[in-house]
Amino acid sequence: MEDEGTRPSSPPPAASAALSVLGNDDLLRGILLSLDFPTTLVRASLVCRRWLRHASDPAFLRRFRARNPPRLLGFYHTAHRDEQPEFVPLPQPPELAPVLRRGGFRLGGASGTDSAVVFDSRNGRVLRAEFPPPPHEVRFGVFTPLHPGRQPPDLPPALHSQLYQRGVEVPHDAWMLLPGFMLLPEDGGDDLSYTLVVLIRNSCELFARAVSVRDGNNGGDWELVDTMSLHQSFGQVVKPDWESGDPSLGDAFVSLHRVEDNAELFLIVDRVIFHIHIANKTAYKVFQMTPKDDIGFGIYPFMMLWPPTFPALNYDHDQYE
Amino acid sequence: MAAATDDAGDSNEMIRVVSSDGEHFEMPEAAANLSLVLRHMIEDDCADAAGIPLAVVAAKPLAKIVDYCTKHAAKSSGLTIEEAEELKRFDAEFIEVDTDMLYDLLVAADFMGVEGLSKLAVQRTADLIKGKTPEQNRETFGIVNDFTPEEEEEICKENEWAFQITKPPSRLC
Repeated sequence: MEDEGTRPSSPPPAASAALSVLGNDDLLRGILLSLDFPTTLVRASLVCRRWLRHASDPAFLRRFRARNPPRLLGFYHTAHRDEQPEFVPLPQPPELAPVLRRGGFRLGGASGTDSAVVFDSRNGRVLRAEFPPPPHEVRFGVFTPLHPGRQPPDLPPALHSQLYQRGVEVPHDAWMLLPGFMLLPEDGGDDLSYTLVVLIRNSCELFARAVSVRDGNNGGDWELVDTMSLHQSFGQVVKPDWESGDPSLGDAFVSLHRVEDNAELFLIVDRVIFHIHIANKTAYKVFQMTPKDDIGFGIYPFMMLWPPTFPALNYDHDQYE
Repeated sequence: MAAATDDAGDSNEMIRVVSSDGEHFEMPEAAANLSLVLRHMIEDDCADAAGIPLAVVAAKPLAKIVDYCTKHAAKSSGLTIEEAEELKRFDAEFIEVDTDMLYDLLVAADFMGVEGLSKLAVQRTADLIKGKTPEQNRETFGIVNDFTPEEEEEICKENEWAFQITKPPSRLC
C-alpha cells in the first residue's frame, strides 16, 4: 500500500479536536466496535498501544463478536471420491476477499497420504485426521489455512467421546438423527460448551434443532437454542418430494452435514447442498453434486478466524489511566 | 377527532440554545427533545428566552446539530418507506464533513446525548479508519506510534491474515 515517504511535513490538522475524541474511552470503543471486520480491527490495533489495549480487551471482543459474527468463508467437501477434501470459497465482501486469496487451504497430509479427512474447523483452525493402515492408529492434526507457514502441534487423541455422553430430549413421537462429528474448542476460552444441531423427525415433519450444553463439567443440561421446521421455512426451495426418503433406514435422502455454533448448517437433499441458518430461517443452494460424487460424501465449513491474537505487551497502566 | 391531530399535545414552542462562543440558535421543542441534555433542561424548566448555554459546543457544530435535530424531529414517527429513504439520504449527506467537523460532531453529539447523531458520527469515523494503514490512521488522528518495532512485528505475525499484501509482515506496519 502507501509507503511512509508520503508523510506530510506539517502537523496533522485538527489534532486538538482529534485528541479530545481519542481521550474519551467510550467514544473510542464505540468507533472500534463499528469497524465491522476482524481485519480492520487488527489494523486499527496497530495504531498505538491505547487502541490495542481497547481492541484486545476481552469484554470489548465479546461485544465486537456479538455485533460482527465471524463470517463463513467457505467449506471443505469430499464429493470427489479418492481425492482429498476440497475447499470451496463462498462470496465475501471486498474487505475479506484478500483473506481468502492469501490463505493456504490445501488440506495436505503429514505423511503424504491421501486418506486425510476434515473433522472440524473452528476459529481459523482445521482439525484433520489421517487413517494410516493398521496397526497404526488414527492421527489427528491441526492446520491453519490463514497462517500458511505455521505448523501447530498435533492434538492428543480421544476428544470424540464427550459428544456422546449425554442424551438429548426429543418429542415423544420423534426420532433423532445424530450427526457424528467432533468439535474443536470454540476459542481459547471454554472447552466445555457445545452446540449440537440435530435433525428430528416425527411422522409428518422434519425439524432442525440446535441444542447446547454450557459448562459441561458442572452437570449442565442440554437446552434448546433454536428450532426450525424444514417444511415451513424451506420446503418451497427444493423439490416437492424431498421428504420422501427415510433417513432412519440409513438411506440418507435428506441429511444434515455440518453445523456451527450460530446454528448454521448444510443440508443435503438429493445431491444438492443447501446452506441453512436456523436462527435466520434462511436457505440457499450452494453446491450441486454429480451422481457419481455422493459416496462417502463429507462437507466441512471454514469460518473466519476469531478472535485475533493480541500479544501481551508490557503496559505501563499508570501512564494511560 | 381528526381535527385535533394537528397540534395535539406537543407545543410549537421554539427552544433557544447558546453556543460556547455566544451564538444563538433556535429549534422546535420536538427537535430539542432529541438531545437528552436539552430534554432534561426543558423538563426542569431551564429553557427561557435567554437560551440554554452549551459551554462545550461551538457555533459551527451546533448549527449542524440544530439542523440534524430539526430534520429528524419533523420525521420522527410513522415514517413511510420513502420518508425513511429520504432521511437516510439526508444523514449520508449530512455526515459528509471534513475531519475537524466530524470530531466536533462526535464530541458534541456525545455531550448533548443525541443518540442518532452519535451513531452516525461514530460509524463515519470507523469508515474513515477502515480503509487506512496504521500509519495513515496515525496521521489522520495525530497519534504517535508508541510500539517498539518488535511489538509491531509480533502483532503483524500473529494476525498476518489481516494484511492484504504479501510483503514480510514487519514491513506492513
